[in-house]
Amino acid sequence: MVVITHFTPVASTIGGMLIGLAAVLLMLFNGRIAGISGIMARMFPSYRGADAISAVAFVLGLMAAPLCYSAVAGAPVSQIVSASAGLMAVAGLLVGFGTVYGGGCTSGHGVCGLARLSRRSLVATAIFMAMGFATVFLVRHVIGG
Amino acid sequence: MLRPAVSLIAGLIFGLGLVIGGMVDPAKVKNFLDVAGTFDPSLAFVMGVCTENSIRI
Repeated sequence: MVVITHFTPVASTIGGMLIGLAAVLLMLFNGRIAGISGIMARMFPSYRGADAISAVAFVLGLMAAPLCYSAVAGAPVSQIVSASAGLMAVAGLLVGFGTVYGGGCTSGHGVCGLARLSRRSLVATAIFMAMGFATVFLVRHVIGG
Repeated sequence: MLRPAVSLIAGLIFGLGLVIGGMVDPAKVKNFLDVAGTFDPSLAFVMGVCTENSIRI
């Protein structure tokens, strides 16, 4: 399902500043990269290190954010989900596999990696973005069109 | 005790950034990837600003 969304430059700039601030805080105080996939992975036994409690704390903060937002804004977070729960579970599994295999996600490689001027992250971001563009083009304009 | 506390606050700020930036909406993220259709460049703003800010700090 294709839904038209409106370009929100101001809100997105504020959002970007907050994410940047969070990434800097985590790096400065904990020496950790704010990569969501990596933090999620560290909650599981096979990857669990000394930082499991911090990983859980981060994810709790992340999940509390939309609740805090709607409490203050007085409106639910705008979200349009077109996939079924089953499809989302499969997609989530693929995202988890891909990010562990690729060594990072949009936040780890895309935000933190690029900010650290890591060549490896630049390559990873360029590849997964290109694949994202190609996948959406294929699904929406070749198969769906 | 400091590390989990910092993580919790960082997670909260990160999440608020995602919510305010509209990046919790899959429709918005998919539209960023749909240059040939219903393109929405918001994601580039979110990612560009947070990367640029992190470099500066």
